[in-house]
Amino acid sequence: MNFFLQQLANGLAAGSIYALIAVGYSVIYGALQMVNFAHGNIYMFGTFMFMAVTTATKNIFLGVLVGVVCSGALAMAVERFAYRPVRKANYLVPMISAFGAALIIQNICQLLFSTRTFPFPASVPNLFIDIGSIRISVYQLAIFVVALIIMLVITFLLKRTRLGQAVNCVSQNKVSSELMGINVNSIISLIYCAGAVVGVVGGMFFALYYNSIFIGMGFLGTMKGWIAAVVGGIGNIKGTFIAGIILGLVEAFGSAFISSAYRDVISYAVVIIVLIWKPNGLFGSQIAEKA
Amino acid sequence: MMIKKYVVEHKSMLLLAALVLLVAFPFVISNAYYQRIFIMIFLYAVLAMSLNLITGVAGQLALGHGGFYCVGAYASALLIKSCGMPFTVSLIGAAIISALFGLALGIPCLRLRGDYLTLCSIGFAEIVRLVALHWDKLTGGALGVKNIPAVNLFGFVFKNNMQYYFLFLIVMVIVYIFINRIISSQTGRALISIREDEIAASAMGINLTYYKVLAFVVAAVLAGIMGAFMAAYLTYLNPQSFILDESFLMLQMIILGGLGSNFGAIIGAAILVFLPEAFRFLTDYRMLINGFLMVGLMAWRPQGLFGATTTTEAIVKKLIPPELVKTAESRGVENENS
Repeated sequence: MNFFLQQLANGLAAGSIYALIAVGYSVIYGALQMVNFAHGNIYMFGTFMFMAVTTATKNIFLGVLVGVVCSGALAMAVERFAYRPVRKANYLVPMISAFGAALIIQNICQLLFSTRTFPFPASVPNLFIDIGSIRISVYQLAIFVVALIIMLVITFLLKRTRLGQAVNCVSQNKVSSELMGINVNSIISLIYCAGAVVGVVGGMFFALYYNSIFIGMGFLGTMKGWIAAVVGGIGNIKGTFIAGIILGLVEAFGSAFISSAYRDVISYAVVIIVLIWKPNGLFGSQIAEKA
Repeated sequence: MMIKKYVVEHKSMLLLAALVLLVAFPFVISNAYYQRIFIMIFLYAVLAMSLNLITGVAGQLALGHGGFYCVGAYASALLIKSCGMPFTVSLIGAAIISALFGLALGIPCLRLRGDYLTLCSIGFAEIVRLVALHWDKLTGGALGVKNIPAVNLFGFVFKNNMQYYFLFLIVMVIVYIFINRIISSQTGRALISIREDEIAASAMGINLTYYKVLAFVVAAVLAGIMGAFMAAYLTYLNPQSFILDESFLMLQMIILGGLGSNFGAIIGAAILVFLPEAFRFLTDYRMLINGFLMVGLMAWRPQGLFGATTTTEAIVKKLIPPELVKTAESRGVENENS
């Protein structure tokens, strides 16, 4: 029973990180239907910048700020130079551009930081709360709470503000939005920026929770984010959040009871099964679609 | 424009000339390194053409092609090594097993919308690779399979690069003709109509899932067969050869060559196999350049070098006499491209 509860706590923490990364992914995916292969690598770059600045200045807040600004700026740059020129092309084309952008960012990071795995740059005290016989780290709790808050803020922004309405308009019809006086280019730019900022928060929590920062975390995040966004239903931020948590739980229990070598196999199997069972995702609404 | 017209008019002659050059090549240049590059080009050309059947012709973006390639390679290698089968039997075995995998993945996943299929196929390729990596007892794990016997077709054992060169060249030519025949058959037209508009296609009585699965399985079998040949040519296998980048490379080839163009797939394979070799001296920057190449190409020529010519629009244009099209245009009938 204890083992079970401990896995539950671990799964929830990992799931919250996935949820954060996935919410960032889903903001872009939902609004633009764009398979953004670079998402993971953009926040990976941000996390590396956070690490570099924190190590250099010993100031974690400055590091967080730089990390967030860097990923936001990088996302906007990638949008401007890789995605905007091909926005009107066949949907395969931006996907390939995104993959190219992901390769570029990954290799620049490799050249700058090498392929080593780095520890979390600041020493953080280990705080625990003991509930009965299971031990929950304060960070596990904090990750969950922050993820929940960010998800609620994004949902609020999208549903209740003028900006959110503009995003919804752009997502439905770019030409009409332009005619209604919405600056489509800056809205799209902003969507990518927002996605990357949420992503980098997830990336920094990832670094904190696993005490490691490495090049591969980018692609890993892209896939987990995509899986959670699809399982949760495209464009459904709440669904994505829940799906991220479910993914973390399934992986935690799968690693514990089957084998940790097959952790990724389990998450891919989950998405295939869910899609066959519910093609619109667990929480997706039924949308009539024209091919 | 002049050149394009010339090429279109003399297409078969030019193809024949290219073939003659390819046949003459190993006799002129005996350097094993260059022959090896060409062998890899032929190998990837077949993989790209088969992926082109799914993605370019039928319009279904599957990114798990490396998975079928991996399945075929391992199936053949293990049938030879563990079960002692001759190469011909293992080749057929690899084809059948890849076909079964293609069916198992295709039947449920091809009912899904575009990007879901992409995700499922990536998941499939990764599952195959991770199982190959972790199921040590069957696949040898990270060390892979070593000492795979050479290709042995009905008693003829392939020994040197020159013989393999012709083997892969012949396979490529056969597959080229085969896929071209599919494209210009009734099946091919059904696939193209699915790419152009699924709803219209199903309204015309085309069984969407049947044709998609058909294309998927044909492509899977071709990839599996190439995997078997590749394993026997290289004599070793390990899961590292089937990382996701392989599937992306194949997709890149057909996009570069132009989606739906069979000839384009070969040219795309040739360019993308050759370029990294040419830039080998830039080891650290190779993938970086590859990334810039991808982004730049997409921005510069998103339809690829030999963009699809057999769209429904083109077919309709062929059927309607040009005078009629002209009068329709002069009356202001809009030609809507969405």
